[in-house]
Amino acid sequence: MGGCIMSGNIRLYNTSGYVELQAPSSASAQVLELPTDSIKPALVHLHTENFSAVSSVSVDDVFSSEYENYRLILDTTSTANVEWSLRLRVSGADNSTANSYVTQKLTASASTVSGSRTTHDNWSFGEHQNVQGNGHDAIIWRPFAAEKTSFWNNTAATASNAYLSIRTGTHNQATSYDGFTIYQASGTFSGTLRIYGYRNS
Amino acid sequence: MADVLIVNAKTGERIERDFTPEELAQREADRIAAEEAEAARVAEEEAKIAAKQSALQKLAALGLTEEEAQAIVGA
Repeated sequence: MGGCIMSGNIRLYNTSGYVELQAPSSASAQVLELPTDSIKPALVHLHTENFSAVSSVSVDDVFSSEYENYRLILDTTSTANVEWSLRLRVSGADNSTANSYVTQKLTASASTVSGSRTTHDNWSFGEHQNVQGNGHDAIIWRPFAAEKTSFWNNTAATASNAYLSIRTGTHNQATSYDGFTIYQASGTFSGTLRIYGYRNS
Repeated sequence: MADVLIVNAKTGERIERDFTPEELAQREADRIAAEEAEAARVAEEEAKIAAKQSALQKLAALGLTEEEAQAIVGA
């Protein structure tokens, strides 16, 4: 990528084009602003957290009015092959309202495919099917809005035998949440959690 | 090695601590509920397999080939 100054603005080039950064309109301005028609990334990185041998990870103050929808990317190992749960959270407290979280599961291992639905005080968000490594790719829709919240998650066991677990879920509480807790009922897990916000426009 | 990690994404503050007695009780309840749900799922799966096997045997007794019977029950 190269760069040059055109008429006071800055253009950053790569092989497929350029992004132009607008120069300050006055000498006293301190901030460069992107033109309104410039390319903006759809996903905005909000937080990355590394954790080791924990049973529960809570993230506060990550959902806000700035983004409606969020993406969670996790890479984990676990000491046990267990279900992995998520509870939404606000002001430092989990919401564990009975029967407020519904999860629909679809799992596939080799040629065996099965589905099930659960209603609990948490989402059955994913699973650690193989202790050697699991990838999780999730979307949470509108957690900050004081409306019902939903999610989608795809868990893939990344060890020698591939395993697929797709989950969707709804939560019937019209509450505004600023965070979440992920946990498993037995054993501990380690890994990296990355959280992104989807730009609204 | 703490049980619980609480992170504030805005401030970066990290709290690592062990479970409180209430959280330990909740964890135990979660573990039991998870085991019961898994047992129910396995039982349902086994019942489906048993029903399918029974259907296959009955269809074979009617004179259907194994391929024809499996096509009917969706095996």
